[in-house]
Amino acid sequence: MFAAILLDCIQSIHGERSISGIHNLIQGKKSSQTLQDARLYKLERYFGIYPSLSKLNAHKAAESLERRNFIRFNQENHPVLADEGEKYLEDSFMKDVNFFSGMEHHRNIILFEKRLRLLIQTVTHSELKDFSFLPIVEDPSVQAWMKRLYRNNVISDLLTSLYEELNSLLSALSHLEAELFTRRLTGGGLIGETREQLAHDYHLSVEDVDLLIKHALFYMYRTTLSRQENYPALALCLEGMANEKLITSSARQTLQWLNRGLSLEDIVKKRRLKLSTIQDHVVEAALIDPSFDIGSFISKEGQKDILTTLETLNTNKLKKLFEALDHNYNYFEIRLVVASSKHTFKEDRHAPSSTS
Amino acid sequence: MLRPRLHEQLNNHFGFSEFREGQKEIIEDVLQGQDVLGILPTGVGKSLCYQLPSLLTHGTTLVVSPLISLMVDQVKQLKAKGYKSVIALNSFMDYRERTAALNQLNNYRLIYVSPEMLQNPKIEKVLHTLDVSLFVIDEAHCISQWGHEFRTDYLKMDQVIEKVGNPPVLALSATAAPDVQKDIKKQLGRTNMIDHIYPMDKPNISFAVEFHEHQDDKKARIRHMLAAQRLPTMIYFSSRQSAELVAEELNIALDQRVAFYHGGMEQMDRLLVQQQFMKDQLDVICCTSAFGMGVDKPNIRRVIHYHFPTQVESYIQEIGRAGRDGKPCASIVLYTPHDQLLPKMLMERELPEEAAIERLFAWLTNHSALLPDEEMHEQLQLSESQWNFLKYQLEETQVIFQNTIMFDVELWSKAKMQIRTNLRKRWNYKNEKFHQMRDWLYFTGCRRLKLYEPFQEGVRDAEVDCCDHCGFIIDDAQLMEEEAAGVITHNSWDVRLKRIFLQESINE
Ligand SMILES: Nc1ncnc2c1ncn2[C@@H]1O[C@H](COP(=O)(O)OP(=O)(O)OP(=O)(O)O)[C@@H](O)[C@H]1O
Ligand SMILES: [Mg+2]
Ligand SMILES: [Zn+2]
Repeated sequence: MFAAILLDCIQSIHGERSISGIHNLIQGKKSSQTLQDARLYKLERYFGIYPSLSKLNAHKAAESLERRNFIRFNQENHPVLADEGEKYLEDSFMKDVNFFSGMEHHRNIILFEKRLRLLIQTVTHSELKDFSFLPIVEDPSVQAWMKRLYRNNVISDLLTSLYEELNSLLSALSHLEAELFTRRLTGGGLIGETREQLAHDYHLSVEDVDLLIKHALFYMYRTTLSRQENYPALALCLEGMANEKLITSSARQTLQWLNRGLSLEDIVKKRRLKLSTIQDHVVEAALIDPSFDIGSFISKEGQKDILTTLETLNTNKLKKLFEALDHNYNYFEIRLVVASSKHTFKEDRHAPSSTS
Repeated sequence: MLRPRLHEQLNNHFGFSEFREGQKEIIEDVLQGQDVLGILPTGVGKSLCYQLPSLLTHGTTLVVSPLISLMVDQVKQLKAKGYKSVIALNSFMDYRERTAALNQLNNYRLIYVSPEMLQNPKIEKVLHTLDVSLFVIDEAHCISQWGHEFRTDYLKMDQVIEKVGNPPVLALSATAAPDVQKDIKKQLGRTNMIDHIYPMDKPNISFAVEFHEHQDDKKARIRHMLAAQRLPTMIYFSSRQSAELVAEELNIALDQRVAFYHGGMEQMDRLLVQQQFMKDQLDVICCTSAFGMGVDKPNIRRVIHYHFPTQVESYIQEIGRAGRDGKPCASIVLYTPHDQLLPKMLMERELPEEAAIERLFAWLTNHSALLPDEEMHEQLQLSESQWNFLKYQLEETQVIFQNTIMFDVELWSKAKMQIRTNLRKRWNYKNEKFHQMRDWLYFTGCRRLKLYEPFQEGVRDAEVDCCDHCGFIIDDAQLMEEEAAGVITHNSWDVRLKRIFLQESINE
């Protein structure tokens, strides 16, 4: 699965970003650059799905893709999809069934997972009248949530509901995902298995184990979210989760100053940041907020110019655009137009299919 | 009148019917307000010596513990048993958690804390306000073993004790030779502590050391031993990579569950491995010293050392995990001549070389204050523990005061000499420890006698075959076959899900 995700990213980025850039995206680096990349290349779904992915492992994986002739590296040492890789990607189930929606949900998924694991352990051990088990999730806020939930427990037969809901959701996933997911669970006196153990038993890489389980969690989370009445037990784990828009808090501050009528230069002074950083914030805002007006930063003609070139060249590479426009516009202006142009396309996330 | 009441309390709070050797004596003295040094063998129940008093005294019991994982474990286990007002303050807590904990610290009866935490100004301030009725140093040999180098905060414990109002002090250890005992008392500023020193030898363990040519021979030997007898086993390594590597090899070669454990693992995986092992869902654990101290599984039958530790104290700690149920168990050290290099390398990473002193003073001449620790490591090319050692020495010799460099020609030349002497002493000490360990490996007489010789006079009779010198042969050892109860067969996911949710009887 890791290979398919990397190939998918590489295909969309067509040689314009390095492996590090892709790593930042999958790992969920909260920088303007990475957030912009995710939007520009329509890779929002993979943003932040694997927070613990190390740079080293991302590079190792890329090397192995190269060895299998799935990708090659261009002059700038950026990965490009090769024919073999394209074939592999087409055949992988990621092309049909892809429940990742990282940009929107990656943070909630982390909390959802912790709650679900602790809920399962607690419910099953209570059934066994074993109240002295060691909680598998150590996060104190999740433990507090669990206690609260138990104190005013609303669902009568939580054990059975939880079982049935999980059973039905897991049946809709691939056999492998269901296997990995259940083997990693702790409860009913059974201790879950580590990623290494699962990797060994199923002849997978640790990254594949992590991502397959993560994918299962995305599916469960989104299905529960969209049909809470059908999954009352799992829906308990959604309690109080916000639907936050992704924007760095630093960018938010810059926006607040902008809204109060300060110029970029004023903000630079006020916040003692570099101009380029403040510009990053503006581009970030343009990317995320469709109503953000870039008119005060670049004229209508300028926007049109850049847009035309953008469409003819069909690239997101700033340098190429910059040169094609005869250096008439600076990078900031080009980035702004590129960013806001993304809103003219429809978002193409698919909701989970209702197969359960 | 104390006695019957204590028994009752033991039963009420912990469900034990009898005290084990030494526990009652230590607890009685502690409750009388005496300072106590308690040396009890591994696994006897030193924790109880402060856990029970913490329930019987009016104020807070403060426990200084060397390892975060150890603290967190103990707290979890106490909580699971129903002891609620206990907490471990540690550096992994985020700001919010820590503030919350600090604000209500006086609600806890039992507080675990690391020596480093005690130096944190915020925590120090709160500790002042507590009514501390007992100050405990668990694994007190760490004061001597580590205090002088990378954990120099251990040497400031006497000041902390004073600051919290001079409560009675209890120091506990399973591996403290007479010189270490003296050092502990000295560093704590309590030279008049009452000794409760019990023999620390383990009558239920057999010893064997095997010499091999190559690493591969050791691996083959391990495969052979494990295959011959399936038993709960720990294998110690001094590097993470080798622990991982051998675990993988064993997994492929054997039809047993093998996993590795070290400090670099993800938190949940660490928990899972530990609990699998506790619940007998794992046969063999390949680990570094990160797994050990405080691990309290009753039925570990075999502790194998793939690499031997840098000192006898660590070795005794590590084999202390075996046979905590009192039944027969064995220690096997596998040795190749090449293995000598590893401990040497570890030692060199811990202590600075003499040349570093010159470098340090040259640097001091050009600066007016110390930089943050990380930058000092960079600038002086020192490891964390090497720098800790030097920094502490600078403080002691008053070359620095609150991070400011005090320049004084005379003071400096004295300080340099002093530091050089101290450094040599430490190197000698470490080398001695290392040689003591290695000499034991090469020793041709009774290993049991020799191992405990630095700590006590003589040993009790072994309840098992004593050692390879006295006729113990590991391949013939009767270490009891475990029932295969914990072994899980792997069914497909839907069956496992049913088992987890206890649905089997309903749906079949
Ligand atoms: N009086 C007792 N009766 C029965 N079991 C006891 C008693 N005291 C302690 N135990 C049990 O003995 C086990 C070992 O205790 P503990 O972990 O405190 O040992 P320790 O001496 O600190 O060992 P180590 O040196 O390895 O840290 C625990 O499971 C504890 O519950
Ligand atoms: Mg202990
Ligand atoms: Zn002997």
